[in-house]
Amino acid sequence: MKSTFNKVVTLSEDIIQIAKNEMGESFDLIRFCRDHPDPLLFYDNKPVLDITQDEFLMIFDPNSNHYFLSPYQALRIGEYCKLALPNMIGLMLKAEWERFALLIIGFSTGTEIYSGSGLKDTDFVENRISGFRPCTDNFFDLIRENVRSSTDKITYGYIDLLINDLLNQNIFLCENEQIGKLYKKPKTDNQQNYFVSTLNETQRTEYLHKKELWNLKSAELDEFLLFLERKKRFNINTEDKYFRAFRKLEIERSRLIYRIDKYEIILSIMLDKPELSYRELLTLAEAQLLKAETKRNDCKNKINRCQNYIDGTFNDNNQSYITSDFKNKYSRECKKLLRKLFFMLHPDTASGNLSLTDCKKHQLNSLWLKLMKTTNEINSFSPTMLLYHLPDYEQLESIYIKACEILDINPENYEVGNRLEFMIGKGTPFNEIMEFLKNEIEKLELQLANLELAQNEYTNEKQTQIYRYALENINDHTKKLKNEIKNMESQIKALKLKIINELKKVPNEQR
Amino acid sequence: MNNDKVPNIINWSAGIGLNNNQKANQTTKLKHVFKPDRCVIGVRSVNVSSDNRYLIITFISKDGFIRVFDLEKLELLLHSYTGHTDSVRLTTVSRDNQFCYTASWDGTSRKFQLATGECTQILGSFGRSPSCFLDQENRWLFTASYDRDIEFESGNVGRCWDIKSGKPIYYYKHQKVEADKDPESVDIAYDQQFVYTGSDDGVAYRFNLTGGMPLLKYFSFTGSVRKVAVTSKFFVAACTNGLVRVHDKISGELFKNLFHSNDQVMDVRISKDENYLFSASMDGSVKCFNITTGEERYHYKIHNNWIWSISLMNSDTVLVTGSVDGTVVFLSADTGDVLARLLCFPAEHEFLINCIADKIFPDGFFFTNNHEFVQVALVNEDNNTEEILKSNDLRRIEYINKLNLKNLVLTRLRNNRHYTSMTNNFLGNRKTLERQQNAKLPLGLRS
Repeated sequence: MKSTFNKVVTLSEDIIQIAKNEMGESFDLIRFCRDHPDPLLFYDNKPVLDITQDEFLMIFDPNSNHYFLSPYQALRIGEYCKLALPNMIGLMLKAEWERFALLIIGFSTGTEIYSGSGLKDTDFVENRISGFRPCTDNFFDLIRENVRSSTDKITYGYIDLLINDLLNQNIFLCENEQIGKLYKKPKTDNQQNYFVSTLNETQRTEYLHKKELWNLKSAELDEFLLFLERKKRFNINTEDKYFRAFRKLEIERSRLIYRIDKYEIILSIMLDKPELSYRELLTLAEAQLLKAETKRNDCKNKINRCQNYIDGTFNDNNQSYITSDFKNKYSRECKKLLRKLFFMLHPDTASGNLSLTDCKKHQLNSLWLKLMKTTNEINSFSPTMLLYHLPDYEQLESIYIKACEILDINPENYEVGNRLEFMIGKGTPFNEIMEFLKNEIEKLELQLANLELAQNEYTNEKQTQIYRYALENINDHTKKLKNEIKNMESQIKALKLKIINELKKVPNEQR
Repeated sequence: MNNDKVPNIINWSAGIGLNNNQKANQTTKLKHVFKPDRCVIGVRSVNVSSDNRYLIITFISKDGFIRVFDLEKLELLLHSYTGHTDSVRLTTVSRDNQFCYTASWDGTSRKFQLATGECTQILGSFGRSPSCFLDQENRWLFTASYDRDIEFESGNVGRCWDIKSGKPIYYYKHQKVEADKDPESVDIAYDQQFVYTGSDDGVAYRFNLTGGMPLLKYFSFTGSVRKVAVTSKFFVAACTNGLVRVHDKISGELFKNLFHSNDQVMDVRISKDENYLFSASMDGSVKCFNITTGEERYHYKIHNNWIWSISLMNSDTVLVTGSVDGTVVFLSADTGDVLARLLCFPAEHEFLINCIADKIFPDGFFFTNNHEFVQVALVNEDNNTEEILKSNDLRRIEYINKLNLKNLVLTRLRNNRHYTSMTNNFLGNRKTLERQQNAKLPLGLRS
């Protein structure tokens, strides 16, 4: 990513500048240290920096003796000097970046990392910055636990947006004072109202319209994700009903399909290698029967699941025990979780995942597929039960926790930030905000269209239609299945006969 | 001319309710049709606001229907824009897209707030008016009317109205045609400098804003001028003899005569870059020309009846046509391909928008908020019988849900390029899926 500035300012330069600006010219930085006779104390009544004065001096040493501050130490300095949140995060990012640069190339190449040819070199930054991925979660935890002076509401989403924004075009590498200017916002409680009040009438109408449309599309996306989950649930119920109705015939059919596959494989091996004994043929065939085995197991699983039917007989008067309030609350929570999952796992929305390792990408991919799959349910439910109609929150949550593990995020912290609010708070010009809203609406529209296009694949609709048709015409379908079974039996007989004939062709002694 | 884009909205469209495996064994299939017993009201004009948000449709009906369709949300605005006592023939939208003026056969022009439906000004009265034009600064409204309706000796007249005072200030007069001939057409346009008119006396003029005698006569012929359009270089007129006359706007010299068909040309538009000209005809066809070379890019029959009006939207990438057959069609301006067909039912205040069949949706797909507009039938091919499914029939509900796809319609309409790439990608995924036996990967979920 191209930097928006020519000069890279290091952390030590920033510290000097911040101390001068915030604490005055006469401020003695060395008092941050633990071994100073009169150290400056943090909220926790401990010196701001848990380092010696010698180590402190090494922060400003450009040579190999340089002391690298951690993001936590940078945060303590920032918080002591009462820096605004963007400045503080800028400082922490710089500390993290300098440590990262040291780890990646410092020792291996012997470059003077802290001198002109190192961190201050813009070419060096351009080449190396792409691999720099600070963990929002760690930053969020540090800030939440240690920052008291900030007037901003500290949320995961806000911190994530700030970090991404500072990383964008490497803004965090510029002078800390400049960051303050970039994020200077009006002193008002309601940034949105303030922003709207600065617009003329046409702009206001345009903005409010676009914002309304954006909210509408976002809500539509939430609804659609939940709708898909519900449809998935509905289709599973149909599948269960089907297997409850045609269990015996389906078991028989799947058994026969397996046998046909097996005999066909045996026959084909036999034609290739006529010298093999029947026992050897069976062993070889078994190795190739994996596909048929999976098919049979799949059918077995479906039948097992349909037998797990939980009947709602415990209900009085056949009334549901679920109140509409509870149902709404449950739906709302499901929507929230689905949205998070969509943003974490869907390749369109999880743009940050591009920089993950292949292994992690693969894991996320599998999770996304798991989320989409419909056949991994354990129980089936009665119509009076909540989970008969709605997605299983626990199951979604387990996927979410797994995704958080892969992405190294604390599941309790993660939330999708409101970029519009962030941009308004940052003082982004009207045109840029409108452009952002336009793009977001277009993106949401496309995501919705994509989901709409793929909904039948997503919910296994095609197969469910077959089940539904069968359930509507039970007699016809029973007849059809019986015929199929009959045909398969004769097919098996014919195959067996063929195998026997083939076996007869080669005398026993030659086998 | 290619006829393959003629609508098929009345006939049963092919649709299969069961999957391919079942097709072999079953002789029944589901088909749909859009409200076959509906009352068709011809569309008189279509106009898209400059922000591509609203499509304003007016109708031939004497009820003076005006309906505004929100192209961003895919819904009809709730308001009825009432007041006119006869057919509304044309609308013109303000620069800020907040309001529009109308031209109606009831001899008035009304100002309607688009968002609220409120009528805030009435100008008139004059003869039946088929045309109006609002200047960019929203200071003047130009109307053209058949003033013989109110004054025996008068021909067709253009007026410039001062919007502030609500009074006509300048007039632009055409010759009166023979007494026994009904007025047929008149149109008016303004380019911040001059006023341009074309009328059923077969003449097209350029006037000073202040009216009086014409400054320039572009042409004269034995026929009528249906519509005029002006750009920075050209003055264009749609003529009833099947020609589109393109003149140099300043000098008045004939630049090109473009032949549409033997039927009357009803409306004409030029792209903003002045490279392409779109014309619509009484025979229901749309033609696109390269203005410089005069070459025809495409010529398709889109409607089964007259096309009254056309309009360009989405940076001239989509052409909208409105026809007497009661439908509004969205075409790709580049290729002439039909993207969607809007059926607007003004009396019921409902709509249905239909996208034609493609590789993914062999039966097409649609969007409507009112499922009653879609009739689904179970067709038995063996004995050739049809059973109309009841509203609560699960098969009907499923069938409609499968094809009632708002966001896909929206994407196709607003961004056909995205739609094409998305569906191609989906098709590719599906092929991969079919190749992998037993694989249950829900492919096609990625973009």
